[in-house]
Amino acid sequence: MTLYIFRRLLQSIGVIFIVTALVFVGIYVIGNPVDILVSTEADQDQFDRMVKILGLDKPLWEQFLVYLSKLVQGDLGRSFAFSEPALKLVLQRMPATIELVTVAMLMALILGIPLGMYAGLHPEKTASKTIMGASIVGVSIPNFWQGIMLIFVLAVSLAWLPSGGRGEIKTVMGITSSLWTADGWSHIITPAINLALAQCTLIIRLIRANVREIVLLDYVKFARAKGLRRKRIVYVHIFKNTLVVLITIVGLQFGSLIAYSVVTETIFSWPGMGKLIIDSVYILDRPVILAYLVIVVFLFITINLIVDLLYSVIDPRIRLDSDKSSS
Amino acid sequence: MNRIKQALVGVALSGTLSSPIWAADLTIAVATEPRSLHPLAQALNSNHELAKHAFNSLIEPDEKIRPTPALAESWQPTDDPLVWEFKLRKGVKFHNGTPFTAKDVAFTYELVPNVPNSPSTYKRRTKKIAKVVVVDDHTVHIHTKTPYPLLPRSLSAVPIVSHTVGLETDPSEFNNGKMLYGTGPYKFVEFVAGDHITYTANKDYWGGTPKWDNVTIRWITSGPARVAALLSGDVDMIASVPTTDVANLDENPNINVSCDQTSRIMYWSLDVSREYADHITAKDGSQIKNPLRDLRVRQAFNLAIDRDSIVDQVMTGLAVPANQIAGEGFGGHNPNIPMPEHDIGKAKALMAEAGYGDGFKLTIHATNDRYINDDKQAQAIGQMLSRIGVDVEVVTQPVSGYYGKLRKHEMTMALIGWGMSTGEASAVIGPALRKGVRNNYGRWEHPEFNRLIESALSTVDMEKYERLLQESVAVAMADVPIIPTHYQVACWAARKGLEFTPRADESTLAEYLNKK
Repeated sequence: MTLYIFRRLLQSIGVIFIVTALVFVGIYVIGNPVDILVSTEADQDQFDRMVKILGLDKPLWEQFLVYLSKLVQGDLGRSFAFSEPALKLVLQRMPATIELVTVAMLMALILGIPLGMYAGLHPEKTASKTIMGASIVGVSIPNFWQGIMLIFVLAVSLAWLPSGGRGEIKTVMGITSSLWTADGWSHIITPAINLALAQCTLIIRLIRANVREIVLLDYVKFARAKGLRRKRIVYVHIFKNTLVVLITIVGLQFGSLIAYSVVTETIFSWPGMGKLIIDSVYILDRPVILAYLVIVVFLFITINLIVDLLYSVIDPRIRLDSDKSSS
Repeated sequence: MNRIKQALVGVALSGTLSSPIWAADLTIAVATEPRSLHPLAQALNSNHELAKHAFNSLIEPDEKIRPTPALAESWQPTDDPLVWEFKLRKGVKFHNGTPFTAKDVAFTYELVPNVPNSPSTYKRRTKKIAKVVVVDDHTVHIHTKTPYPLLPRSLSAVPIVSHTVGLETDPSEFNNGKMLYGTGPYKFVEFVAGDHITYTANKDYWGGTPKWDNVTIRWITSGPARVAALLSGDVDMIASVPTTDVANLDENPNINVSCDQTSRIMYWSLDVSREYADHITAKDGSQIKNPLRDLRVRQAFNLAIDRDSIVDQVMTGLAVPANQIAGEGFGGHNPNIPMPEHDIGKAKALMAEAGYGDGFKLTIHATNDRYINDDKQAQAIGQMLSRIGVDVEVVTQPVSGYYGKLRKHEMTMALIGWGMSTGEASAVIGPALRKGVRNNYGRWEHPEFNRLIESALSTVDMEKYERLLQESVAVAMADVPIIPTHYQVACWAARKGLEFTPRADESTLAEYLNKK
């Protein structure tokens, strides 16, 4: 087990090394960040001075080595644009993103699991067909347009909910979140729906497909033949077996939502990491882009680890140490 | 155009209203987040418009970027053209209670080039200053290295911070509010990165009680979301109204749109120096000498461009045609420069006369995410030039990397936008057309122009300066080193009952929002 986690960590270090190298080369090819940072009126002296302060006058490999040696010491550098530590900037905005993604994911699960189960158990019913039809619409609407429409319906026409922003924030038990206040909840609902719809669709379709497979398996037939109550068959024998798929997808989607909820964050001016990273790419703010990617890599690896651990809890056939012998 | 005239009338009227005290809270949404709350950390409009709520400069630009008294009550050059005397306002206090004196002025100008960890300081604004002499608590003498007519205008962008801040203070101490105390109309309350900043009225403000009790400024990057926030009543006013929404909002009886011409000039830079330009070939692809070195070709381009159709069609009326750097009402505007007439016949004749009757191939460059409709402008220009026989290929790209390429002279004809931060033409022609300056992307050189602009910038006789500046603009425009097309118009939209006075520097300031 420890060996397994250790191997995962080693892997992540490798990934971070490659990502860093790619970002260095990529930004180098696009251009010099100082061209964008410095005011257009700046003269050559001011420009040269800035290039030197940011260390961009050194050859690329040297900049890379300096960055790596600092990274090893846990220093991710200062943002070119905000002149604050890059890690601080990213971490400052992480709670907002995680909060939004968690609420969206919960919404998607609460709605998606029952609907998916229903559609899987009764594939021929009209209701199931409606669910499946609607879910196609769900995947095909562009996120951006959907967000604007949600704002126009819920905030402008009906005026039920605010049009954007994060609302009031409170700290309870050391956790700072907008979920502790009613105002915060009113702000989070619309962006969360926007994120949740596509996820919900995915969950419905996956669960349905999975349920339809499971229904035909021998142990379900056997349970039915044994005369078990329908409720028990559905909740214990079928639902439990969809969990492996569900956890895989929730884990993967959770990670990618955190990393790429950019569109939703921009439309709803949600002060999360996505908005920060877009702005940073725009102005080639290398330390922030890297700090963000390092964090995202760790997040992904942690989530994957948790998913793997959950597998072995849910399905006794999966054992983490067993791949030693099999590989 | 009509809308702009209305706006101008609006400006004139709102100026005459007195400012009664309203017990009211205000929420404004702007498009761009600040990168720092330190007023001197970065020369960026998004930082500066925030700084102006809490800080004052000695001299402040009005809505047309004309210098008006603020912390300095008066200023003038002394008998020695290298020394200016500034009389400071008495009885002004910083938000933390310390009085504002000459000491703070001297400190601020010392801090400007030395702000720790700052990627783009206001150094350009103070670099002509040799020293600041504190005569008494309310008089300073600013010595310049050479006679410098732009000193008042340059200093109008530099907010004064208290000397108690100290030279070593990191800009992050401003972001947490600890050091954020100025003399301005609003006091800092709270800052949530990426979300909002809140101010409360400074009841002791030297300029009278501020117009609003509490001001919240939110950052809403997406244009449609900004409009939605206004329509839903979440915010009272939005800045940078998307051009596509201006007409709709204008018809909405619950919304008040105000637009005006800004100081931002859009022009095309031309490579007029190189013998062989990177992006020009004969129509069969063979190399030819750079035709843009020929004045007649440049004039032909100038005549081939239909400014009215750019303004009406590409910019949907939200622009003003331009024939020179500074628009009417701004310093250095030369009323004698004629508007180039759109004349394809004459342009073709000029091309033929220059030996390019059959035209040539040209690639033009523009950004696609920086200026209003930048990519559409490029397409339109391409079509207009094709009418005089030039085969144009249009290449657009994001602004990251664009200016780097320009400075390496890797573009032959490229779209540039430039705001006159000092409100007069030298803010553009100084750094963009003088010999050897880094933003002279076409490497244009003209001895007569250089002589005129240098002598304009080294006299403190303001009338002489304005005359020389206008002359230098005339000389430059006659040689067509760049092709100006239009001045950008900026729009704000507020809920019914509120009216914003548009500012040529595009700043969104709570004090400029009035109840109708």
